This record gives sequence, structure tokens and C-alpha cells, in this order.
Amino acid sequence: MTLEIVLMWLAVTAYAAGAVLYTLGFVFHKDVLTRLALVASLGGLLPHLAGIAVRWVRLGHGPYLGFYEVVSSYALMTVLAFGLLAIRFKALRTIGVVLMPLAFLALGGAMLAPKSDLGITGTLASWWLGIHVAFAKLSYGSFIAGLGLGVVYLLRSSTGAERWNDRLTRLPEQDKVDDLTFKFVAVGFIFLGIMIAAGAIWANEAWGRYWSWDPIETWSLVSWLVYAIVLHLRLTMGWRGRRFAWAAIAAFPVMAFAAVGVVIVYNSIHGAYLIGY
Amino acid sequence: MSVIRAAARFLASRRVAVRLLIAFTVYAAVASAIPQGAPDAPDVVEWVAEYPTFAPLVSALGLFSAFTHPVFVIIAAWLSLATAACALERTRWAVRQSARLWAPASEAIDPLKSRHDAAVSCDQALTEDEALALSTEALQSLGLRTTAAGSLVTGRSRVVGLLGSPIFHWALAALFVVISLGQLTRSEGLMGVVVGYAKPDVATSYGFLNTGPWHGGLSGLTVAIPRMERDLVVKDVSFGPTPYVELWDGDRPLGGRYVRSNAPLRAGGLLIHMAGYGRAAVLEVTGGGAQETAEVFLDADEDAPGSVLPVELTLAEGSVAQQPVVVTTAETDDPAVEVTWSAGGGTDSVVLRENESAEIGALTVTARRLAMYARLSVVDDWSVWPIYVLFGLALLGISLAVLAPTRSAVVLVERTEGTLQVFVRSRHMRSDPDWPATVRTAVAASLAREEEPS
Repeated sequence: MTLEIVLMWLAVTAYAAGAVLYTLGFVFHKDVLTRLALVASLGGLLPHLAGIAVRWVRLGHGPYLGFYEVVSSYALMTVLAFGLLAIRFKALRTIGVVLMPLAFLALGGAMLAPKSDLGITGTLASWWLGIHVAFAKLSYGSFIAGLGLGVVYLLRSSTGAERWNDRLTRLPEQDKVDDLTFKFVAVGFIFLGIMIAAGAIWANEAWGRYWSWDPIETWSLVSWLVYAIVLHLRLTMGWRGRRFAWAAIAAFPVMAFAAVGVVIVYNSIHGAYLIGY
Repeated sequence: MSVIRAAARFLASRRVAVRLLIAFTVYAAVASAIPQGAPDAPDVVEWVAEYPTFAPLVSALGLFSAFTHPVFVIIAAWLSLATAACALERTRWAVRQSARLWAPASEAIDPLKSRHDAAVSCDQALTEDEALALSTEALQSLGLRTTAAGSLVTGRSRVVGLLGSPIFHWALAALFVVISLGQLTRSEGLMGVVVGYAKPDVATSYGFLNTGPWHGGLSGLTVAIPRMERDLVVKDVSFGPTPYVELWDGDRPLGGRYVRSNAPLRAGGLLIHMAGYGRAAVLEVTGGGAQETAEVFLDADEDAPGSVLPVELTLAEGSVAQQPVVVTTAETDDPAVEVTWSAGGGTDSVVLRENESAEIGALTVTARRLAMYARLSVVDDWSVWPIYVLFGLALLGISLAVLAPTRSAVVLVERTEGTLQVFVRSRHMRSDPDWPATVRTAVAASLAREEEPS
């Protein structure tokens, strides 16, 4: 077992511990478990980052070639987004109960996938790739933060909310959570737009076509439009609170499918480097 | 006139806009599940064989060309008109708002007394003018531009915040137009050029050519490949066989470079990419006093690694008697072609190296050149850069709208029955719940500052 794999399994273990402790802390209303969960979750970031760095140095490219690298980096972004929220807004640490199970499942799934060493080919040798991938991760991180905030909002405002309220007392006011959800969705929308633009420019440089309706191109546009609808509903039709939270949650699976699912379901030109066929 | 107004209202309707966005999204998502291409495209043929039940319906609906289908075009056109109508409405709103930027909101005095966010406590030793000046400072510290009138100070964010939404919508509307015009005027083709040879950018030079209905005609420029690297390595990345492509306007060179992935050759709207390569033979055929030259492109046979696909060639149309032959390469390291033809009920063949000839019936076939060739993708599309600019503008607009939203605050300073009262009301375009508290805190801190020395 290589150093990289050892580090990654350490991260999986830490994320699993974080997910379990968050769930237990939330259900049984034990602050000590929630604090331990935060330590485990953010502690998992270290081996995760180190594992990715080791592989980066060995292969000479970032984590964007092959299912293992791509999904592992999405898991990293999930924990980074959570970490950012938890550090910037201490009251939002409870959001880990939503995000850490997702991060654990993503990294665990990535670890079960083939870990082929894919090299940089001529088509990939472009600095647009870096911009394209970076903004894909940033948009994903923003949307998953929006998802977590949306779930928290709904939990606190649902029927029988009293059951949850005593576990969520430290969270900011609902209108603040609602506003933060909007901000993350809006920023994710901008990042996703930059990702699409960088991809189009890159495609034109590599193949002479800025857009060819390849399934992954189509689904990146679909996810951008879905979030455009979500923003439209809020900004022009006044969707706030529960309705907006539902919209932010409903949009996320579309984005996740565009990022990871499309290359598995469809025969896409991106499949060559996302899942290695 | 009322019909036009009703149509404009309908187009600018926010509900209609959301429904159009949903329609566009659902259509694109469904279409992504169906391979796009001509009926004989390999992906389409494979899909038809795999789903024989759905194939006739999908074919009848024209969904193998979903993104040029009239239904899609109508949705996209409608969406673009709705976006333009929305842009117009947003622009009118921005103009109205910017006109108010410099106007004091004196009409707000009475409402402010009854409907304010906060009544801020302050040092009662302050005069009204001092309190007003300090409130002005507080609003300015929040990045607001202020105007004062009497006992009222109004602060509003800069005009740039108002421009975000109009810029976003206008850029998107223009994007629809530019993309459509680009598709109608675009040409895209594949041209095989043998190393050491050149071809003009005219229709007959292309093996495949697709031109939009409004395309103004091919450039007529000359595309030449003087040499080709067997394996171009740039920064440790191998690009494989890479042609050096030159573009000429008559005898005037326009540019030249090794053309590879992410490094096309550009000249105006013309973009030349490397789309493939293979071995080529230039055959010279003479007979009956006539002479013709044929280029034969020998692509690798993916089903039989190490060999090439045979090419059937009808020699010498017109003055020279027609004679079908099959040409394949005999070797790769030692360039040669094998020419096979029908003779006396059977077949005969000969292997030719460069400048060797063979008699085929009444014809003489000479292998004039045996070399590599590059299949170049030549795209003529002026719209690419404008599309980048417009999309960039759209992103700038949405960023402004989201990150620098319009904010305002009004502060009323009034002494009633000897008590200095300060009322604050604030407004945020996105109804940011923090904004009223931010304004209140800033004003209160500013008014309390005077107390500190004592």
C-alpha cells in the first residue's frame, strides 16, 4: 500500500468518524460529540490534502484525471466548503450533519474506483484546463454549501421543528441562513458560468469548436440554467425561506449529475479523462 | 399599439421567463440522451440498433438533430426575445433609480418618522448640524454616496450596482443573436494536405465541408504544409506527428506554426486545427496524351492495427480511360504503395516507391510523392471572440448584480421638544438581513463617537 493510499484511507476514516459523530451529536443533542465531529472532519483534511499532493507530485498534474481523482477532489471541496463555513460562522458548525456524510460517501466511493495513473495528453496541455477545473470545484463547493444551508433551514422550519430547534439553537436566525443560502448559490452560479466559459474557450483551442452539445457540455449548461431558474425564482418572483431552500436543494443533484454522473451514463468525450475509458 | 404593449408585457413576464428556462433546460436534458448526428453517423446507427422501439419516433421527431430542430429554435428565439424584453425593463428601472441617486429624498421625512428601522440614541449635546454631519460620515463609511437636504441625509450605493442586471440581460440577449448569426455564417471543413504540398481554401479542396446558409464564401487563401514532425514534444508533452502549417495570401505569407491541440493557426476568423494524419500517395497518371494527378490518403485501419484502409480509386476520368485500382501502403518505414487492379479476369498488383512507375493497361502510374498528410480542420467563424466577450460581460453583470447590489439608507435628524432624535431607514436590493443592522450600527457608532473625549 503506497503512502498516498494510506493517507487517503486515513482521510476516509476521519470523514467517517466526523459523519457518525455529527449524526450522534445531532440526534442525542451532545455538544461534546459535535465538537469531536468537527475535529475529526477538519483533521481528515490534512491526510486528504497530503494524499492529493503526493499524487500530484508523482504524476505531475492536479486531481482531475480519472474517477478516483475527480470524485476525491469533489469530496475535498465538500469538506473545505464545510470548514470555511464552520470557521467563518461558528454557529453553522451543525451543517456538518448534512455535508460530512456526503464527503465520506464521495471519498469512500472514489477509493473503490480504479486508481489508474493517467498522464497529460496533448489535448489536456492547456492552462485553460486549470481555470476550467478550478472553477468547477469552486462552483461545486458553493452549491454544496448552499445545499447544506438549505437542509438546515428546512429542518428548523419544518412541522414539528421543536424536535430539531433545541439542537439548532446556535445557528444564526433563519433569515440569515436564507441569505447565506442565496449568496452561496449566486456565487456558485458565477463560478459555474466561468467554468463553462473556460471550457468553451479550451474546446475551441483544442478542437476548433467552442460548443458541440457533447452530453457533459449540455449538462453543464443544464445545471447552469437550473441554478438560473433558482436565482430567477428568488430575485424576480420573491421565493424566500422554505421555497428557496427547497429550490437550492432540488438543483444540487442536477449539478452533481453533471459533474460526475454524465460520464458514467453517457458516452461523452470527457469520459476519456473523467473515468478513464 | 395595445397589442404591441401586451406582447411586450407578455415577453417581459417573469413567469413566462421561468417557464421558458424550464422548457429549454428539459429539452436540452432529454436531447442529451439521444446521439446527435446524421442518420448514418456511427453513434446514431448504434443507438437505433439498441433502441428499435423508440428509434422511429425519435427519428420522426427529428431529435437526432435536436439542437437545430424547429422546436428548439423556437424555444431559443422566444427565450432570447424574453431576455431582451427583460433587459429593456431592467434598463428602464436602472435609469429611474440612477436619476434618484442625486435627488434628496425629502418626501421621505414623514414616512420615515412613522416607518423607520431604528431610532438611534445619540449624544444630546450634539447640534442638529453636527448629528447630520456625523450621520453623513457614517453612510459614506459604508460606501454610500450621500446627499443632504434639510434635516435629511440620503445615502445610495454607486450607479455600478444598478448596471449589473441590465448588463447581464443585454449580454445574454446579444449572445443569442451572435451565436445564431455565427452559425448561419460559419463554415467548417476537413482538408487533407500532403506534406510538401499546398491547397487553396476552396470547396473542391475539402473532403467534408459544411457552410452556413449566409456564409459569404471561402477565403481562397493557400494552406501549405512544408514539413511535419514525427513527434513534437513541448514541455515534456508528446503531441505525436505534428504538421507545420503555413497560410498564404497569394505570395504574401500570413502566418505559420506547428499546429497541434491547443495551438491552432489563426488568420482573422480562420482557425486551422490538426484533426488527424496518415500516409499519403500522390499518383501521376498518364495515357492517351493526357496527364492527371490523384492524391490518395491512407488512413490507419482501426480494426487491423499496423495496416491501412484500402482506397479504391477511379483513375483518369475524361481523356484517359477509366481504370479502377486499389491502393494500399506496402511498408511504413520504407515508403511505398501497393497498386492493385483487375486484369484478365483476375487481379494484378505492383509495389511502387517514390518516382517509380507501372503500366496499368494503357496507363502509366507514377508514385510521384509518398509522404505523410495532415487532415486539417478549417473553421471560418467570426463570432467566436464576440461570444467570449458577451459571455464575459454577462458574467460581469451577474457578478455586479449579486456582489454589489443597490443599497440605500436615509437618516433623519430632528429635535423634538428639546430631544435630539435620529431615525434610520435602509433598503437593500437583495433584502440582505444584515444591512439594516450594519447601517444602524454605523450611524450609532458615529453619533456616539463625540462622547468619547468626555
